[in-house]
Amino acid sequence: MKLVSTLGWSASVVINGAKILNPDKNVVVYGYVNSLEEKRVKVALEEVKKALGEVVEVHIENPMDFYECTIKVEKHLDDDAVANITGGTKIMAFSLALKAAVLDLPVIYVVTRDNKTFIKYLPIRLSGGSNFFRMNDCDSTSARLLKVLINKYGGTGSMKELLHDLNAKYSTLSDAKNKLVRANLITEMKVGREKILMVNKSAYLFMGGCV
Amino acid sequence: MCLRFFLSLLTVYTYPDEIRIRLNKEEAEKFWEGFKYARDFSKGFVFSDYSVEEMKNILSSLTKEEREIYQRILYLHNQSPRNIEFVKVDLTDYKKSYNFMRRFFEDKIGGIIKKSENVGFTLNISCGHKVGALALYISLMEVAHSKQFYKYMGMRGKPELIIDVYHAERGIEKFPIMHFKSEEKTGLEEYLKYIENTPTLEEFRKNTGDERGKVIMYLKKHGYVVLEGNKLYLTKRGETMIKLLERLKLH
Repeated sequence: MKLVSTLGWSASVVINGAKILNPDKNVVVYGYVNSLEEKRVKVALEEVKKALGEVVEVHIENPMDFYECTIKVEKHLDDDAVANITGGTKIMAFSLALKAAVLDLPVIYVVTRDNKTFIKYLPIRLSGGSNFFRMNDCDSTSARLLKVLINKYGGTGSMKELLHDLNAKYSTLSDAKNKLVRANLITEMKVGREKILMVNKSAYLFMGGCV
Repeated sequence: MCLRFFLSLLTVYTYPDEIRIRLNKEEAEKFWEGFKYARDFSKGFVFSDYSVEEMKNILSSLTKEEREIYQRILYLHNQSPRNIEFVKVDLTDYKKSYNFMRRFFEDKIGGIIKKSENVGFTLNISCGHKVGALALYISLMEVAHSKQFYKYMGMRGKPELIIDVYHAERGIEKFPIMHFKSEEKTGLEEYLKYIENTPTLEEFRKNTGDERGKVIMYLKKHGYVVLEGNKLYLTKRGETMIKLLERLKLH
């Protein structure tokens, strides 16, 4: 088991989580927005390292940036990962929780009550269902659209170009596009008569899979 | 015309040390940043660990600066024209928060859409506890993506369901509006222990009574086991889940 934990000021939520779950490996995700926070987080990180021994450190330059958080945690979410989202900023915790949910990995949080520590399981998942885009299905039009938009066009492309690249019917592409817009993964703009699609930060939740 | 709701969480920190003042100042700043971003809305709901009276009692023992910061927010309670209501819910417990908020959204969305009105939710998740914020987010996503209401998202004409989720702190960071859901463990993961000794499919069925294959289908779907030849093997995911379940049981 690999325990991937977000860390803020409190070392105990990471230490206690690790002591209970006894993983083979600990990954600690941390970040700070100013020098005061930096001091406190670094103290917490040292406490974690002292208590748990060797840990993999993942430093988030901007813990308020959903994109950076998602991209950096994604690298550590293998099949044996468990996500502990108790510490750190909300954005760090959310990006870890949602990415883990997309990958169908377990998510936990640590609660301390009356000097006792409990691990609680967070039952979050991504729904199945044909109405929604299937981002984990690499053949789905939504996944292919996002992949081409990010990898070929760097995040911004026209519907005309995408239609050509994906070799899909306009109605199919339009349906996939609408699902992605509704999910706030892409934004649609009109430039003259052209429809332009732009990737939003939240789309990077799907990087590393089909995208 | 759209009936728009502003939603936020709010807590007040009660740590004994000086860092508390900074945390409470930041909490209030995040609330106001989220409030200003929401702009025009018909009604607001603020989910908090404390009722308005409880919050006032807590504030009476804090510094004058903290009292003033929160008084400006509490003043919004039931004041026209914004009409913000403070709702008490245990934001430190995911299950309690989620159950409460799920019912809340079903009632609100259902009640309005039935009258063929457009309805919008502007949700600020930057305040309050993480698990409470996650519960609020997941419950809204679940209700919005239900069979009953998903058809209204992105709909041209009435009624339309519009959702905006963001984190407000030194700028607005938007979140995906996706089909996440809350799904308690089915208990079928417990059957993973029968696969530790690599049984054949027949042996597994005999030991577990899974004649219809429902358990195996579930375990395969979530990537916990693979069938090779006629033998069942645990995957890395499966081994991790067994270990996690053991640890959760002990604690």
